Amino acid sequence: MRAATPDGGTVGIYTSAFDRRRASIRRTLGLLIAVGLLAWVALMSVRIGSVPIESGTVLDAFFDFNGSDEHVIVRSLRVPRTLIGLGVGAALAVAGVVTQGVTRNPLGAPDILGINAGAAFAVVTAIHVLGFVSPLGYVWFAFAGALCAVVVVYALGSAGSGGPTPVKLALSGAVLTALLGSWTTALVVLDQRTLDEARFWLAGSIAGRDLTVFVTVLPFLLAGLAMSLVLGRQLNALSLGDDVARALGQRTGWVRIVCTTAVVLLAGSAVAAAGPVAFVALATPHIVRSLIGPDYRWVLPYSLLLGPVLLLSADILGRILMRPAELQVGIVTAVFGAPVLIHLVRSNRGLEA
Amino acid sequence: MKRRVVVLGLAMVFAVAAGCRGSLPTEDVSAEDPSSRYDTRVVKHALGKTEIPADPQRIVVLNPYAILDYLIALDMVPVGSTGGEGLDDYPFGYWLEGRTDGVEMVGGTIEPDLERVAAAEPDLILSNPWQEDIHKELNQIAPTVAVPLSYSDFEEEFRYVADVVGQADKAEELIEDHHDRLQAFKSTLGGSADAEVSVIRVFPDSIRIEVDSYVTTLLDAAGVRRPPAQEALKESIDVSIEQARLIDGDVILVYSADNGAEQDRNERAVGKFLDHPLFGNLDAARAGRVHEVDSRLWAGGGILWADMILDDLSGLLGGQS
Amino acid sequence: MSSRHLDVRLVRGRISMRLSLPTMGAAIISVLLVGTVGAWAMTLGDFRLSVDEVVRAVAGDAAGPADFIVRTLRMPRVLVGIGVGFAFAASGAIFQGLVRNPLVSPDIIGVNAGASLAAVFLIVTRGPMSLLPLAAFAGALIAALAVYGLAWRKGISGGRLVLVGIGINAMAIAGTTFLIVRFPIEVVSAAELWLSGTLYARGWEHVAYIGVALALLLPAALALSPHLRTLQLGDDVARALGIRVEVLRFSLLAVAGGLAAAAVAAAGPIGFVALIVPHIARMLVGPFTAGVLLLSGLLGALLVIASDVVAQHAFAPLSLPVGLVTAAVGAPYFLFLLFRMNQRT
Repeated sequence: MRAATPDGGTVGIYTSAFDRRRASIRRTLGLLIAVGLLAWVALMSVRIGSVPIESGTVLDAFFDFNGSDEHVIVRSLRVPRTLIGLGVGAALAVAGVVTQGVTRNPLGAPDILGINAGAAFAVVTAIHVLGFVSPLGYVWFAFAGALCAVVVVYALGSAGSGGPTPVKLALSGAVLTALLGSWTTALVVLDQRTLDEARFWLAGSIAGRDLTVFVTVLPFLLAGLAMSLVLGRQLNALSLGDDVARALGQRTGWVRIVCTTAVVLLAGSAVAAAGPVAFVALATPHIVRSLIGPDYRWVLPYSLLLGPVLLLSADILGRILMRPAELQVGIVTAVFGAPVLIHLVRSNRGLEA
Repeated sequence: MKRRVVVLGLAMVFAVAAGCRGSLPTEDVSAEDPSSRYDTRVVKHALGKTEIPADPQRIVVLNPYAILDYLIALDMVPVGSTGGEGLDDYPFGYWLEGRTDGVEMVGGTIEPDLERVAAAEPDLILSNPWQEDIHKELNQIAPTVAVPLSYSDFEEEFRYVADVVGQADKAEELIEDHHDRLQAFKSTLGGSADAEVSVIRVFPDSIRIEVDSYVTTLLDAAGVRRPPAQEALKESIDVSIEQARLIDGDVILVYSADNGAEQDRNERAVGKFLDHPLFGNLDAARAGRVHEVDSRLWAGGGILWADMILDDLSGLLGGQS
Repeated sequence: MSSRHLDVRLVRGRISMRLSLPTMGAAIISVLLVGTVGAWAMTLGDFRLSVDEVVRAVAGDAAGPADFIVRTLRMPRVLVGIGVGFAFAASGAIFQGLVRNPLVSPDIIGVNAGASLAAVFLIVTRGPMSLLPLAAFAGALIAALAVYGLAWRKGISGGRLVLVGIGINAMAIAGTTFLIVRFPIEVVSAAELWLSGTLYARGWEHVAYIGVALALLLPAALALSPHLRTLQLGDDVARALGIRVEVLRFSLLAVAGGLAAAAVAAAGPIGFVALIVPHIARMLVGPFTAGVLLLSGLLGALLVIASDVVAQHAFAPLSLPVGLVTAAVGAPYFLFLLFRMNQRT
C-alpha cells in the first residue's frame, strides 16, 4: 500500500511483518548489487581513457610494477582520479538526499541552492586573491563559503508568504549563483594569469586534481557521510511535516542543525576536491527513490553507492567523447543533468508555486 | 499615460536622428598635415581596402607584440601602441624592452581606448584582423589597415607590414640577414640541429602540442624537426596528460608562465606536470633535455623576436654532445 | 496604496486614463536624472569637455576632436546604456509581475545564458564580430523558446517556467564553460569581457538595435500591462473577466523575452539590472502598473549609465566592463533585501 508524502514521493505502508521482511531482504540484495555495480564502474574508470588499458595490466600495475607508461598511468592518473570520483560522488549524492529531506523539496541540491557556488567562490578567493597555497589552508574557505550560502539562500527563500517553497529556494539559489559568478568573473578578468588557472578549476573536474587536497578533505567528508547515514529515521519523520515529527518525539531544531552541518561538510569537501560539479546531487536521490522507494534509511546508503556510479560514468564519458582530449566531468554532468531536472519539473506535481 | 509614451518615443527618435546626422566621416580628426594628403595609395587588408598615406609619420599600432616588433625592426617607432592588460610594468612585447621610448600606451589590447588613439593624432593605424567591431570608428580617426596575421608565418607578415609603411626594401634586407643567421645556426650546431623538438603548453588536465605557430615555423626554418608522432598534425591540439608519450623526442620545450619562480612552481600546472611520474618516463626527461622557456618571450612573434629565440635555441640545443 | 490620481480624458472623452501622481512624479525626476547623468558622462574622459561643448557637439555644432569624441564615441555609448538599462529593467518588471516573485529575472532563467553561449562561441572561434549582436539575439531567443516550450504542459505555470529556465540556464552555462576551457587564453579573455556585459565600442548601429527593439516592444508592453494586473488576480478570475490567459501570458513573455534579448544583443549580459530595479520601483510607488513599468525602465537606464561612469573612470587608467559594477551593486542590495524581507515577516 502506498501513501503520498509532502516531498512529492510516496511511502510504502506495510500490511504485515512478513511483507516488511521480504522488502528488507530485497533491499539488502539490491545494496549488494549496487556495491557490485560500483566496483565494476570503478574498474572501468581505471581501464578506460585516451589510452585503453586491459584489466590484466591494471593488476600488474599493482603487483608487478615495471614502470611502463601504462602502469604509471594506472597508478598516478587513473586510480587517483577514480578515488576522487568515488569520494566526491558519494559526498554530493548524500548531500543531495539530506538537502531534499530537510527542505522537503524535490529540487534540493547543493548546486541548485547555490551552496556549491558559495564554496567555489570562497576557494577561488582564497587561492588567487589571498594566496593560500596549501589545501589545508583553503579547505576552510570552502566550508565557510558553503555555510554562508546556506544561510543566505534559506533566509532569502523563506521570506515572504508561504515559507521556503521549492521555487523560491531554487530562485534564491540561482540568484546567489549568478551573483557569485559575476564576482568570480570580476576576479579573473582583472588578472589574466588567474583566469588561466581558475577557469579549469571552475569547470569541475576530477582529473588533474591534487590527491593531497582529496586526502585533506577526506576526514571531513567521512564525518559528513557518517552524520548523514544515521539520520535516516529522522529524515523519514521530517518528511511527514514538522508537526508530525515533533509529535513523534523528534527535536526538529537539532535535527536541522545536524543536517545542515552534514551538507556543509559534504558539499564543501566535494567542491574543495573537485571544483563545483552539478546535478549529481540532484539526480541521484531521485533515481534511487524511483528504484527503492522513499525510505531514507535505504535511500541514503543507495545514494552513497550510486552517486559515484553516476559521477564516474560521466567522467568516463568525458574521456571517450573527445579523444585524445578530455571533457571535464562538471561539463558532462551539467549537459546531461539539465534534461533530468527539466523532466523532473515537468512530471512532478508537487512543484506548483 | 499614453501621452508620456509618445513623448518618450519622440525623444528617442529625435536623439537617434540628431546623432545620425553627423556621424558620416567627412573629415578625420588627425592633425592637419597637408603633405600627407597628396601621396596616398590603396592597400588591401583583412577587412577590405583603405586609402593610406604613402609616407606615414605617426603610426598607432593595436598589437604590442608581432606588429610592434615589425615596426621597430624597420626603425619606424610608432607614436602609440596598445599594451598588455593587467598590472605589468612593461606593457609591450617583452623582448622589445628598451626600444620603445616615446611610444604612448593607448589602452589594452582587447579594448583599445579610442579616445587615447585619437589623442595620439595618428595618420595611420595598424589593427588586428579580428577588430571588426571598432574598424569604422578607427577609420574615422585615421586610415586603418587590419594586418592579416597568420600567427605563424612572420616573414610574410613582416613583408606585408613593411609594404604598408613603405619600407619594403629594408624588410628584404632584414629577412636576408635573418636567413644568414639561420644558416649560421644550422652550421654551428651541426648534428645537434637535427634534433626532434616538441613545443608544449601544460594545463591542469591536458597538454597542448604546438604545431603551426610562430615558434614552430621558426624551428622548421632552422631545420629542427618535430617528433615523428606529431608529423601528421596540421594545427595545435589538446591531448590528455595520458598521451604524454606523444611529446617525447630529443628535447621538450615547455612554456612556463613566469621565470620559474620557485615559490609557486609547485602550484603551477607546469611544476606538477614536470614532477609527474608519467612524464619522468619520457626519454627526453630521462636525458634531462626538458627546458622551461619563458612564455613572455616565447609566446611572442616578430622578426626581432625570431632572432632572440634563435639565440635561446642555440643554448638549449647546443648542450648535446 | 491610496495615492493621488489624475484622471485624463483624450480624444473628446473617448480615451480615459488614470495617472498616478507619485508615479508620474518619480518618472519625471528619473528622466531629469537620466538626462543629467548622461550629459555629465559625456564630459568625462581623457578629453575633458565642458557641458557646454558637449551640448554643442550633440547639436552638431562643434569642430574637430570634440565632434568625433562626443558623437562617435561617447554619445552612442550613453544612448546604448540608457536603452539597454531601460530594456533590461522593463523585462525584469514583466517577469516579476508574471511569476509573482521578486527574484525572477531574465538573467537566471536562460535568456542571458543562451545569448552568452552564442556570443562566446563567435568570439572564441574568431568569427566576424559584426555578427555578434545577431548571434546573441538568436541565442537568447532560442533559449527563451526552449524554456517556454519545455515548461508548457497544458498551460504555463510561473513556477514551472522558472525551474525549467534554471535548467536551460545550467546547460547553456555548461556549454559556455566548455568553450572557455577549450580555447586559448587570448580569445577567452575577450570572451570573459563580453560576458561581464560592456558598453565598450558601442556605435550607432547598437543604438539602432536597441532603439528599434524598444520602439516595437515598449508600446506592446504598455498596452498589455493592465491585463497583467488582471492576471495577477488569478487565472480563473482573469478568464471570468474574458481574458484569454494563455495568449496573454505568451504575449507578455514574448515581449519581456524580446526586450531582454535585444538588450543582451546590444551590450552583453549586464547583470542584476533586471533583477534589482523593478523591485526598487515597486518599493517607491507600489505594485505593478504600466507606470511602474516605465519607471522601472527609467531607473534601469539611470543605473546602467551611472554604473558605466564608475566603471570607466573610477579606476583610471583601468577601464572596467559596466557589468562588474552592477554586480558589485548587487551585493549590498541583496543584503538589504534580506534585511527588509525578514523585517516584514
